[in-house]
Amino acid sequence: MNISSITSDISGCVFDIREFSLFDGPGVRTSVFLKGCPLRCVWCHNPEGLNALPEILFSISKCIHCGSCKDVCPLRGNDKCLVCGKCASACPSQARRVCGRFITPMELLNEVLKSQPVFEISNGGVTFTGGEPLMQIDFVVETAKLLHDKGVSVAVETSGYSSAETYQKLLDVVDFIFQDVKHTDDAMHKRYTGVSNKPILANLELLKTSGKTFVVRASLIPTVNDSQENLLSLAEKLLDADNLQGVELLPYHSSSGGKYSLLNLTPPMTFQEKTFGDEVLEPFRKHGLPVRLL
Amino acid sequence: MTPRIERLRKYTVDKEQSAGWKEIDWTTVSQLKTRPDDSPLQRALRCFLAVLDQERKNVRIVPDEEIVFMRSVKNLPERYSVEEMDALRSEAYYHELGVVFNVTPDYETILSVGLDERRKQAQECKAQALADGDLDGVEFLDAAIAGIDGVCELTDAYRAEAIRLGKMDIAERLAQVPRRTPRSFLEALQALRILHFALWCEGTYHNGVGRIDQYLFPYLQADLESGRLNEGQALEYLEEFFISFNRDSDLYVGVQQGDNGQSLMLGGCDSEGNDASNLLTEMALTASREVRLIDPKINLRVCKKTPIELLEKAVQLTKIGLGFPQYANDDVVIPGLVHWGYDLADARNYVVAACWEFIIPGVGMDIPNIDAVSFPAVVDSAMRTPEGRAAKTFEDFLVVVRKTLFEEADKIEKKLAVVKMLPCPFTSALFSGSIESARDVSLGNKYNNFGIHGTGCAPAVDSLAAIKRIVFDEKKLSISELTDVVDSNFEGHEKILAEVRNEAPKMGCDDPEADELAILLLDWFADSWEGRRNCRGGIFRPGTGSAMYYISHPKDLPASPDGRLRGEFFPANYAPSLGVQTKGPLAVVRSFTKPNLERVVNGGPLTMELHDSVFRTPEAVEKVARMAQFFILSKGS
Repeated sequence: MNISSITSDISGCVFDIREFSLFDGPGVRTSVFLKGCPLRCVWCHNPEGLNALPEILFSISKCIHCGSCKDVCPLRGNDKCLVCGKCASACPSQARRVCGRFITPMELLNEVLKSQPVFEISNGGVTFTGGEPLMQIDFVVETAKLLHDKGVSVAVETSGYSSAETYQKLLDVVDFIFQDVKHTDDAMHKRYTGVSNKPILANLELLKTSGKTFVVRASLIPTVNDSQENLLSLAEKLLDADNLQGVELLPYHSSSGGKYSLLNLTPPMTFQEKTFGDEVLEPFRKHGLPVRLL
Repeated sequence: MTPRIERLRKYTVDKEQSAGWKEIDWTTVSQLKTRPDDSPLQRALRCFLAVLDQERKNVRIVPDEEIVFMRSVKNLPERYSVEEMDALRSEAYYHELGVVFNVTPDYETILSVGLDERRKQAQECKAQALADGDLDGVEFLDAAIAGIDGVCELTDAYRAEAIRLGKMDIAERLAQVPRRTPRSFLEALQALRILHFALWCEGTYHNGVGRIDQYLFPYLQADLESGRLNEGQALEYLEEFFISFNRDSDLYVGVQQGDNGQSLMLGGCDSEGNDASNLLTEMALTASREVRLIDPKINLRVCKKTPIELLEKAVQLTKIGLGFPQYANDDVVIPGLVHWGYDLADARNYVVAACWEFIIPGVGMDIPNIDAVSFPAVVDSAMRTPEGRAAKTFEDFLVVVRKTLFEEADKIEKKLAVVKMLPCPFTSALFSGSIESARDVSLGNKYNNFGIHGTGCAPAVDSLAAIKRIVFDEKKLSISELTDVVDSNFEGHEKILAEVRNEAPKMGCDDPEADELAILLLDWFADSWEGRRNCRGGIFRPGTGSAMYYISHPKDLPASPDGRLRGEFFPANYAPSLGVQTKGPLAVVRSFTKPNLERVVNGGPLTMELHDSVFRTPEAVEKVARMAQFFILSKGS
């Protein structure tokens, strides 16, 4: 493949590139966090990934009230932020930072390839997450092609909320998929995520027949989706998937709410943390599905 | 752990042993009365024998013990009054407490021959010394023999107590060791416990035990092959042995809790360069993981051929949060030591001194932490010289930095023109060559090199990067103006502070600009010491460690051009500056392995901390082991 032929005007908006990710696929991985998500899960632990564009994060506890940010702000802090980033550069206490930057597939490739020696010895690679990678499908596809060309495996963690056509584009370029399922009941899904689960469940069927290895991930939100009925329903939807590697259940942690204050937001809802045991594993085990709590 | 080991562990963790500790008023002990003609050796010996006497009066064997010897003396006698020691220090440099420390004896040999044989050898050498008229030699050998006798007498006291308690197995073992060669793995552990215990009684401190998986393995192997022992029993004895390191450690010298230098080294290669890791290597990792105590500190020698399974075992130990194992990379350390003149076979036998400085057991009388250069202070000094202020280009300024490094080396070399240590005749008897040469090991041994720490590498590199940006690239300030800014602690200069903190390159972020400066700085540091000889016939070995200097060095400094404010510490050892947002552990490894670490291999670990959630699945443990492997392949040391 001629790499120069696929460098295009496409760029992605990335809010973090995290090396040494250990729980996002096979081997040691670099996770690329893409901005923008169509869901509004009330327990979201990456609220900085919701907005599709760059924004300013502000830590009030670090602020020393020196006024440097206002001095350099073209709008003097009085109008809607342009996210020019001047305040972040001027902040001596690092209380402000720009969350999100635009990057081309080639630039991203060059960044993540720094870890290629580790990918090679650990059979690792790159995992797109977010936010929702499907919202930047063209960027993901182009970057994945470049990565494959360098022998780097590509995984994705997705809500699966997209058209079948978009989802198929994703399936065509990734090697491994973490498919989130928030709730099997459509009404509950709408209530807690703001969108219907119908496209997600339809794409899950597509995934099951794709031949691509996948793991289903479900956040366990007390009183929302941790019922036996929901877990059993999820297990039943996975019965005929030969390419399912397993199910991973992620207990809710309230500490993730801390990020909201950086965006001057409050968490939409908080839940009581709960220690889960075998009872949440049983619905999957009874169907012979590999399952574990993370 | 077996229930017996659980009980022994609990006894130690609950500090029940402290009930038997006794504070001694040494002024009332007649044998310690100073005499006008006292030699340093006589003082050392009389203090040692006085401690052993006290220990004989307070012998304790607690239930469940198989490996005995427990300290009762809380305070060791001072060989010299403060005034006497001041007088000695006015004539020579005595490092730290002035006695021998940071050593690992030749346990392999002493176990294989026993103290009786070593005593016999000392008597033969004494006869020769007498014949030669070597009175100093005679005095030393007499002291060494008396020290050996004292340790054997204390062993007899424990043996009598064991008989009194009806513990005939213990009594039988103490009849054999440490006088004679151990007949079993358990006897070898008991012998090692006694010898290690005795070093502390003599005042020798920061005592390592070296490559136990090498020199104890023949005893283990013989027991396993004969069926006298199975692996489970061997692990149990090893765990008891490890627990014993924690019994008396509150009484040991140290800067902070646990800083007592009871280190051991696992893995690595044999004298031919072949992988020498064995069953005991893995067993020691398991024992430490199960016992979960701070001593002994576990170090693991690794290389590009180290199997991933051994690294995973090591990560399982990391997971419990004791801060070890610490890795040392043979692929870097051995060539580095050979470059400095160590024989290849010795270099292949390296261990760590108390912390992480590399020494050779039994023959190394290096003082591996004798002084330290503060890199940020070097940059600060360079900024204040007329040449530094007049520098027209960044390259000109770097020339001044290099020159300042050499001037620092000159100062330290001058300060260390005469270095002495107080003698330790019993410790000497456990070293190779001391008995044969009839000289106390404090006078030197095969290797007598001085280690020079290099502190604050990352803040110095970050400061240089900031100077380049602010002074030479953007021309916002002159060197003199930037000096005024750091002297003001950045007060009123918040924009400059923001720029150097947020925009200037930082070491640890895999930034080529910063990392290139780190390569230069450490190369020049190595250059500044290359070819210098110390006053004891050795060389100077630069390294990347900080020891406690990461706290004391910044106290003498104003703020730094990198945005470190006055009073803020350096990072410990070889690590990114405090508060720097790195891009994760792999970027840190990439940055910190770019310099040629073979040239600064005195010691000084890259220090990284991982959140415990990292280890929550078995796959993640393997992935952390892969990161360690990446560090090794990148030639980290």
